[in-house]
Amino acid sequence: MLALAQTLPLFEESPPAPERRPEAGRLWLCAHFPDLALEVLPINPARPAATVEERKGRPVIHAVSAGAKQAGVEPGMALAAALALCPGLDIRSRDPMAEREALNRLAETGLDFTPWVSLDQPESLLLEIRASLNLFGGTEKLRVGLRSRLAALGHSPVIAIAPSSEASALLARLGLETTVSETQALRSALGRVPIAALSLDEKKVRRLLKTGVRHLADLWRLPRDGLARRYGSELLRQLDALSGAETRILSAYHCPPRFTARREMPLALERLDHFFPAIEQMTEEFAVFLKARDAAASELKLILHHQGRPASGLELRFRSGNRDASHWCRLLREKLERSPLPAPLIAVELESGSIVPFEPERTDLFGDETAQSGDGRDWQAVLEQLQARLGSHAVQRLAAVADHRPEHALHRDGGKSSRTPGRVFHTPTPEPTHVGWNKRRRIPADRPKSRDSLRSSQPTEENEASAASYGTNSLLSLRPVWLLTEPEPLAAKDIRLLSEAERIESGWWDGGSIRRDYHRATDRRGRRLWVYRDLHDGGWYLHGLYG
Amino acid sequence: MNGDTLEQLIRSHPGIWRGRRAEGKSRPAVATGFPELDTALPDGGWPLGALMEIRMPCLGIGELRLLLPAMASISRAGRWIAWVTPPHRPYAPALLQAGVQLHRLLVVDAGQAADIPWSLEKMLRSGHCGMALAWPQSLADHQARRLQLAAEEGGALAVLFSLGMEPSDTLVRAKGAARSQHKGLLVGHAFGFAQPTARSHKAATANSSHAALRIEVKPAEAETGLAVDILKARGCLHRTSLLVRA
Repeated sequence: MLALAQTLPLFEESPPAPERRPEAGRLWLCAHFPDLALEVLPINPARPAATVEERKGRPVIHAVSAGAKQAGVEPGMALAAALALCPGLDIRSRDPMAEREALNRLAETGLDFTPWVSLDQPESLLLEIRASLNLFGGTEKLRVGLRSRLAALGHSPVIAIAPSSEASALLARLGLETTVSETQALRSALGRVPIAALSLDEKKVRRLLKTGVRHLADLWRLPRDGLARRYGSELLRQLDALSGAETRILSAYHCPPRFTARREMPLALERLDHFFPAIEQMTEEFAVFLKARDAAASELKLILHHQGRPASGLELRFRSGNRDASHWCRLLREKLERSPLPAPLIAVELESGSIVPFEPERTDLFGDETAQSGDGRDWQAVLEQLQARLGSHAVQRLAAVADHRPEHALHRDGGKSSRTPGRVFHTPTPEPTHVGWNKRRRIPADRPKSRDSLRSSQPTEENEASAASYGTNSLLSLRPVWLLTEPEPLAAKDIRLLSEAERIESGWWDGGSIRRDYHRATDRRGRRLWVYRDLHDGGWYLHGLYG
Repeated sequence: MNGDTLEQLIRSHPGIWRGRRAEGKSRPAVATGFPELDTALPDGGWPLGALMEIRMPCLGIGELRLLLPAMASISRAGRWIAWVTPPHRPYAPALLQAGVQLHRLLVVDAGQAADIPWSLEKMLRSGHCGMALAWPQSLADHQARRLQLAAEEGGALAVLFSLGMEPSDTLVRAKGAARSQHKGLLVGHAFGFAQPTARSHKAATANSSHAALRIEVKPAEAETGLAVDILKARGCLHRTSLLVRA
C-alpha cells in the first residue's frame, strides 16, 4: 500500500507557493459599548439621561445619552455641573448585574463569528477573528455583520481591529474605528495616542508629562531599562502588550450548558405510574448530558402541560450539585405523589436550572466507616428528601449568637450548605450580680454590659472555641435546653427558687431593652424551670425548661 | 446494690450462659456519662442501633440532661443529631455548655404528625445520623418496629419521648390529620400539659413494645437527682431503679 501510494500520488503536487508569509498570530476585534450602562436601563429615549458612578467619593457622570451630549454634558463631569448644563437630566445609577447579563448575551452573539470570545476588558467584547476572516470575507464585512447583529439587540458598539487585544481595546475605548492588520503597523497606528489614555495612575502620568512625554511614540523612543527603573515594570508590560508582544492568554467565554427535554403523551394521562417512565427517561438523558460535561445540576425544573389548563411545574433544588438520576426520580415521585394533578397530562418537560462543576465524593482510602465526614452524598440526599417533602425551611441548623438576651442568643438557619458551620461567636461572659433572694439589698446600677457585645467579637469557624467559652465558663450559669418562644407569666407562689439572681440588662441600643433577674426554679411537679423577674413590671415569667 | 454485683459477676463469667441473651457479643453502645447508669444498662451505655423510649410525667424534669453527654460524644465523633419536631426551641447556648458540636445538629420540622416517623426513619437509616430525638404524640406498632429496624441498620440511637403514655398505644390518628397549631400534645400550656390517657401503670409496663430499651424518668426529691426506672432493656430480664444525679 505504501509503495502504491508513493507511485500514484493522491493529490497533484502543487508547485511550491511563492513566498507568501501567512499572517501569523491573532487578530483581535474589540467591540466597545460606551453607552452600555444606559442601554441596559429602561429609560425614555426622548429624555436626556446619564448614569452616575462614585469616583473618589463624589458622584461623577459615567455614560451620557445623545440628548444630554447636545446639552454639553460629558462623561467625567461632576453631577452638579451636568445638572446646571441640562436641568431636565434623568440621572440613573449604574446596574452592574444588568450590564454583566447584557455582556453575556452579547458574547453569545459574538460566538456566531468566532469560537474565542473574551470578556476580559470592561464594557467590551474581544473576538479573535483571524480564523474567521476567510469565512466572512475580510475584516470590513465581518465588522458590518457584527455591528448589525449587535444593533439588533439595541447596542451601538465602537469596533476596532488590531493584532493585539490591548491595542484593539485601547482604540475602541478612544472611539477610533480603525483596522490594524499587521503587528509592525501597531506602533505607527498608536503613536499619536496621548499617554493619559493608558491605564496608569495619575501620578505617573504627571511625571511623564513633566519629562516631555506626550504620546505613546515618545515612550517608545525611550530606553526600556530606564523606563522600568523610573516608572516600574507595569508600564513596560502595557507597552509590550500594545505593540503586540503580549504573552497573556485571554479567557474564553462559553455558553453555560442548558438541557431541555420534552415528552408528548400518547393520550391524556392521569395516573402517576403511567407517565412517570417518561420522566425517568428524561432524567437519565439529563444525567448523561451532565456526565459528558463533567457537571452536576443544582436545580431542576419539571413542567407539566395539562389539557385545556395552564401548565404547572415542580422545582427541585439540591443542597449540593449532583447528577444521580435515581435520586431525582425519588424526589420527583415524592413530590408528585403528594400533589395531585389538577388536570390530565398531555406532555412533560424537563429543564435544567443552574449547572455547577461536578465534585466527586471523597472517600477514605481504607473505607473507614467511623471516619465518615457526615457530609456524604447519601446524607445530603436524605436531607434533600426531607426538604422535598417537608418544605425547604423544614430542616434547620442551630447556632449561638453573641447576645446576652436569651431570646437573641439563638439563631436557626436553613443553611443550604451543610459544610460551613453556622457562624458562632464567642459569647462575652455576663457578670452575675449575686443578690440574695430574700435579702432586700440595693443593687448598684450596673454599667450596661453591652460594651462587651459591641466590641467586635471574633467569629470562629469552629464551635470548639465557643463551646469552651461556654463550657469552662463557670460564671455563666447553666442555661436551659428548652427556650419558650414567648415567656409565660406565672405566679411566684407556684415556684421555688433554687439559685441566686443573674441580672441580664441589655439591648437598650436596638429597642429590645430588657432588665431581668434570672433564677433556676422548680415547681410542684418537679419540673426545672428557668424563670425571671422582669424589673420593668415586677412580674414573674417562665422562659425556659431544663429538659 | 446486691443485684448489681450479682449481675456483674454473672456477666464477667464466660462459663455462665443465660437464656435469651447472646453473651460475649457486646453490642455497640455510647457511654451515658453517668457511671451508675452505665453499670445498670446491659450494654454499658445507651445502645446504638436501637430504639429507646423515655417516659416522663411532664416535659422539663431533666430528661434531656440524661442524654446530653452522649449527644456531645456522638457529635464529636462527627455524626449528626436530629431533633424531629421538638416541642420547644432547643436552646443553642445550653447545648454548647454541654459540649455538643452545634454544626452536627439538625432541627427538622415535620409539618404533619404522619411525617415524624417517616423523617425519623429516613435519617436513621442513612448511617450518618447518630441520634434522633422525637416527641411523637402516638406511634403505631408497625411504625415503632420500622424505626427499630432503621436504627439497627444505621447503627443509630432513636429516642422517643412520651408523656406517661405508651408510644405503642394504638392511638393512631388518621394518616395525615392536620396537627393543631401547637405541635402535638406535648406543647401547649407550659403548665397544664394534657394529661396522658388514663392507663394503669401496670398495664402500661406490661405492654410489650418494640423498643430495645424503655426507661421511665421521674423527678427525685433532691433538686439535681432523677429517678430512672429501667422498665425493659434488651439482654436484661429484670427491672432496675436507680437515682442519677443529672
